[in-house]
Amino acid sequence: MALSARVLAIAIIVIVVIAIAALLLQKPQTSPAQTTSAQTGSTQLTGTLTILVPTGDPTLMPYIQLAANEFMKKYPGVKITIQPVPFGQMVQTALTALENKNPDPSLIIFYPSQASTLGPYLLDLRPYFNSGVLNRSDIPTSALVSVMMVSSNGTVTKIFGVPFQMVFGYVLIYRKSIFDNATLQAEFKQKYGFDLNPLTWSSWDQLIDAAEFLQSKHVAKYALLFPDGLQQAIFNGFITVFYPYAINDSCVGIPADVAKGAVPTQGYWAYFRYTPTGSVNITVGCPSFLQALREYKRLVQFQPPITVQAMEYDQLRDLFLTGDYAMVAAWTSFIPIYNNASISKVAGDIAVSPLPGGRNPFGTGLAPTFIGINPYAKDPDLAARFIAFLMSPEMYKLGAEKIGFVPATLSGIEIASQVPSMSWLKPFVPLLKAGANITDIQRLTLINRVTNFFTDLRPYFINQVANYLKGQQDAETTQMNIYKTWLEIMKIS
Amino acid sequence: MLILRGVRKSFKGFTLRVEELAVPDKTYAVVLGPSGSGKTTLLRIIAGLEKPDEGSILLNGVDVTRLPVWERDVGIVFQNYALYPHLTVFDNIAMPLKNKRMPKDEIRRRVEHIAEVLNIKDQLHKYPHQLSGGQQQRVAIARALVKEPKVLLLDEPLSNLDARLRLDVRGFLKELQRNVGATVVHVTHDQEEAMALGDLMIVMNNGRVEQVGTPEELYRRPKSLFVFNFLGLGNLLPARALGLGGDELVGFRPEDVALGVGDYVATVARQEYLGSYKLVELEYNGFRIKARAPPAADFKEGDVVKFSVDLEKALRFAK
Amino acid sequence: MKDKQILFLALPAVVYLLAFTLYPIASNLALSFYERTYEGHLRWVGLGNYVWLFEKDPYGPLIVGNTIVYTLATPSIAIAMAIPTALALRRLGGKWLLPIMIPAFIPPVTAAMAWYLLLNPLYGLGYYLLSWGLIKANPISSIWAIVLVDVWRAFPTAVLIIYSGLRAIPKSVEEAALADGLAGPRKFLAVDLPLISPQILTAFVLTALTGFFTFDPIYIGTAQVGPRLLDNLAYYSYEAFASGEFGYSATLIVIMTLIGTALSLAYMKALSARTFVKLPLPSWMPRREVPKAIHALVLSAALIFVAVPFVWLFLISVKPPDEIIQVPPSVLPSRLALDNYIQALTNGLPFLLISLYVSIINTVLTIILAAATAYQMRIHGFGGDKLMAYILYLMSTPTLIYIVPLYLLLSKLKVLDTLWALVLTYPIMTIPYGIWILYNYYSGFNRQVEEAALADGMSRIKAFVKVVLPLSRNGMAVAGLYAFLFSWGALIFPLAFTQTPYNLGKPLSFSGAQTFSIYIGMLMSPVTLSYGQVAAAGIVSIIPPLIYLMAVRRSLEKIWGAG
Repeated sequence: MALSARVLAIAIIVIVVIAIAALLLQKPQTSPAQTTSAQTGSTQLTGTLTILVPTGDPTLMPYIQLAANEFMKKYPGVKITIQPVPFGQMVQTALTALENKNPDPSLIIFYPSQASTLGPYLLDLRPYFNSGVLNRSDIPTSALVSVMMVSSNGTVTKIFGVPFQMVFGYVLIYRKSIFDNATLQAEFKQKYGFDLNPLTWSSWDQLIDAAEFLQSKHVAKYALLFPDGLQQAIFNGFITVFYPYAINDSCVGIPADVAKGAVPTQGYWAYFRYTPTGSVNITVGCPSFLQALREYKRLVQFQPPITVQAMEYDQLRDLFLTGDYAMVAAWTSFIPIYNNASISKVAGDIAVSPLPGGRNPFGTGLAPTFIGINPYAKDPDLAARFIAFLMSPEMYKLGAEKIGFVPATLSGIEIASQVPSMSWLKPFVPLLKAGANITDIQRLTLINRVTNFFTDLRPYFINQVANYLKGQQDAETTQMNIYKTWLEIMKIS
Repeated sequence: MLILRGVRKSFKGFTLRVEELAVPDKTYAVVLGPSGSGKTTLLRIIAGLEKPDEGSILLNGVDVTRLPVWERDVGIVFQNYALYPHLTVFDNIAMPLKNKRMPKDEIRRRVEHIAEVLNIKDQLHKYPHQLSGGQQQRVAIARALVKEPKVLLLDEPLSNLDARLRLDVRGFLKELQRNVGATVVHVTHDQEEAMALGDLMIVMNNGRVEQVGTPEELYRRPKSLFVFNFLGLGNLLPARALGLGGDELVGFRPEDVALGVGDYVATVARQEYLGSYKLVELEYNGFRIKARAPPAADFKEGDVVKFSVDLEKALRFAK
Repeated sequence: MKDKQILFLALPAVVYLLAFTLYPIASNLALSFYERTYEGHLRWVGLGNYVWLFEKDPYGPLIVGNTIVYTLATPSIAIAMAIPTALALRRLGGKWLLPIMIPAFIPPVTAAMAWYLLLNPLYGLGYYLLSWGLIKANPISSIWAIVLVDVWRAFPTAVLIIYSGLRAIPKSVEEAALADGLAGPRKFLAVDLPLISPQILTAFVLTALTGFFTFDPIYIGTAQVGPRLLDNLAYYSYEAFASGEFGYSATLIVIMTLIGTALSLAYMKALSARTFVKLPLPSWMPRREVPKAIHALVLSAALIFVAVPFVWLFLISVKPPDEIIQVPPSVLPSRLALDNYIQALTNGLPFLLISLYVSIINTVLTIILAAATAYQMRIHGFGGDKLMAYILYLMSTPTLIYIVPLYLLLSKLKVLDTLWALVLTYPIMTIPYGIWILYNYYSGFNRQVEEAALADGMSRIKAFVKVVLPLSRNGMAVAGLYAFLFSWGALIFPLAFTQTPYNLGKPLSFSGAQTFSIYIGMLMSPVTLSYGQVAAAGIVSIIPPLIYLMAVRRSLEKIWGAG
């Protein structure tokens, strides 16, 4: 008994010693960060930058590497280190650094779904937009909404990231060898009364007709591969289906100027709207949601059923390579993989169209990749200069030519679409341009205020829709469950 | 009648052979031998815990060689008792009966009866770890006897008891055997215990039966040098050393030596006082001879004494 | 008796454990009353997090339910399988124990990954199960896939413990049973089962802990199922931690700590009661010994169960890339391709190095600290029952519960994302096990050895180093094996405390410290998934533990009593 008291006493002493040591160690760390920022403004840049880059995207890492090398060539006094991080650990890695006020990484790359988590910790970039280091007018507002913080009266209080890479998704990628077949084209036109050409389609029904036709012709084992993966794909796959319906649904009430452009940030914001009293309403209860739900189930019928294999990011990426599928709803970032002849049976055989078709491209969303600055970075100004360089037309041109990188600026995407290997981008340029100036920022950023949207609302949504796709419940029940539960658990800040 | 005929059992580097061995009914038979002589193997073969490589075991005329242990009508008491630690004394004793699918009240009657016989009736509700070593042994015996076997096998039953208790239990075992009327086969390495208990002694050495007979026969008329040496104290000298003819060895017991008289002369080398008698060790022409003397006999180490040997009782063994 | 030298030897491990476990436990409790706001501050919410879990969180009940299923199903199934296997081992010889033990020696993340590759409905044997109509749905989309992986991981431990219990039954009791007419299933029910019931209880609790803390299979499997549906408290709290919800994470951890504590208390109480389970013996129960062929069949089935994921993993690892994503899957590769290994080793090198460093350092640290403490505890009664109870308690609580406070502590020490973060924290998982193994080992140790050394004029410390330690080789080898395995297979600590791979440009800075387990997990993420590479990495991850296992096989079998 006496002994354990002694042990406890020693333990407490150790804890205290550790704590004091930690405090002492921490002190001197804060000062150098302030001194280094004084050297900005000099024309010859010097300093070090560390960039946190998620792995997985086949063009992202090469582009950052390319830009870093070019930047260091231009400014020999700058040293850039790239810190790769797996996609699944991005948030935690970045949060760790930010919450600890570590100076590294100075630049953090992130995706829309992670924006709301990281937002509070990242540096406000508005000074750089105001000073002209970053060019606000070249960035479509629709691509910016997920990195904007907006007060309840609609004024922008913070911009914590810049979109520098554009990924379009979902887009329809289809096999040229099948769609260019004149016999099939003729037979299809005769039977359905419209062309077997996705760029001319305008509705999900037309896509389903085409899939049914191709399935009946046995031109491929499966006609259409559509996302219904249980981790994330259902969530962003469904919004793709929902949005073209929602545009015309007054219950959802999408502002007219927004409706002309591509869906910013996957259009999740359309799930929420302000009521006239200023409180927040959930649009899941709207009729277009039910329509979309039913259509979604029809879209996933041309592939192995969800009970056998749900189609997640990796399946969409890998299964199309086998040549078993005629069409796939995919991300534009997959294009280089599909065209890699060493693993792909469809290399050189693919064409790209928005969804549900070129005439009504609003199912295709924008999923920009953002870059933000660590407020504790040794030299935030240098970091901002690097961002500007990353997004310069020259750099974008180089990236498009060498890597197939898709820019996020209006000028950049124009330049890239002129590069022959990236001509598939052309149908998407107007989409991006239409979203250049949108007005109802308050509505578009409302989702950022739903603090548990990704952590609580999304999982419930995915599982409910999965139950519906599996045939375990009907569409109305699914809609009601999601609506009621969202209303119940939504945390609005 | 328990009969072993032509039994052979081989292990690595050891073979047990028993040409013919018969134990009459209601006999207390003791198997005696040094460790490694095969006595325990013999017991286990009778029990059915080992299958002989060849030969047969007959119990009352029935060949039981191929029968499993529990169908042999034998009871076994293990050296360390081997009680079931998770069962009460009652359940321990009842176990063999339960497995014979006996009616419950018959089981109860029999268990209580045997517990009475073994004087453990008031322990029936206890668990083995609550009992003393001696009580545990009684439980083990009760468990072996409760099925009323024709043969009771005891494997070194006294070796785990302290010296005082050993004498009590020894007497108890013999009485028990007489009361119950079973044939007992008792294995031991202690010759005194064997002689005290055995109606019939079976001396084993090196995998073979050396001699079978009553204790007296074996003590007085051992057929081999091994039996002579193993049972009691003995003196062994070349016949010539005693002035007798022949090339053999002569063996005789200490009690066959008379001190103070006779033709031989020796020196007293050592003496041990053993209560009821004195054991005197003599130095005789380079040989040591043990002799028995009355407790009051007054010798000193170094005394020169005459002695004689009762040659009638002496045995001759080939060299 | 308890002189200063005893304290000197015994205290380092104890002080370390108290400092690194008591503080986090208290800190979690405090943190569980806060939540993070939109702006990133902590805000006091009182019991709000607890209320949220039970009243609002749509997955609260499901997650608690899953936790219960994992905690009960895993041990029940593992033990139901382990008992016949242990009986077969007793009949056919202990030499088969070692192969059965192998799943206990490979990283859990590899085990989970191997099963998921095996059961994959498109590229794995799952395809054939589906096409033959044996199953109706994706085999890796149910919580039973988690249970399957955990049963596979827990099965060896259950077999080992139950087998050792069977072997501990005295031979004479077995023979007495034979004489009393008990054999085969009848004897099993009347004698074996009651006598091994303490071992069954131990095996149940240990394997229940596997199920209760299970993390790696969920980490690997969750992409196939849907968010939250597989989660238990452990995984959900990690998810909350990883998305920055420290308060909610701490809440879940507090609940888990309470359940873990209750479990371990119940276990200790049950063991000390030393009761034997008795079952009624139906009279129809056969008394004949089960034919040897049936035992052989059982053992073969157990060996196949153990081996199948390895075989499939190996086959995938040597397939050329285009054959891996082939539907239907080919069983045998058309040619042996080493591409996967080359890729896995090139990309995985920094991870591999860190795992080796930290495993070796931590193994040595654990052996020394644990041996010193365990010896003083066992031989000199240091710390008494209370300390032993605390050690057992630490063994029965998941290391996950420390991540939030330790994370904050390590960040203050400026060692996050370095090798030192792992070196500092890994002993939390390994020292309790090390002490426990060595404590039991020293129970058979002759204390007169030390007394003789003292009589020869050595100090206690010198006696310990020169005499006791050299004589503890077997125990230390086994304690070291477990320390190595935990270090090698650890996932939660490196996930929480490291963010980047080892910086090979500045090897001596030891910064960037992600481990090979993380590398495997990374390769299984849907975004980066590469089946061939992950299979090759899995095979690589099995090699170091197997080498260690083979090296200490003799010591291990001595302690297992299977030699």
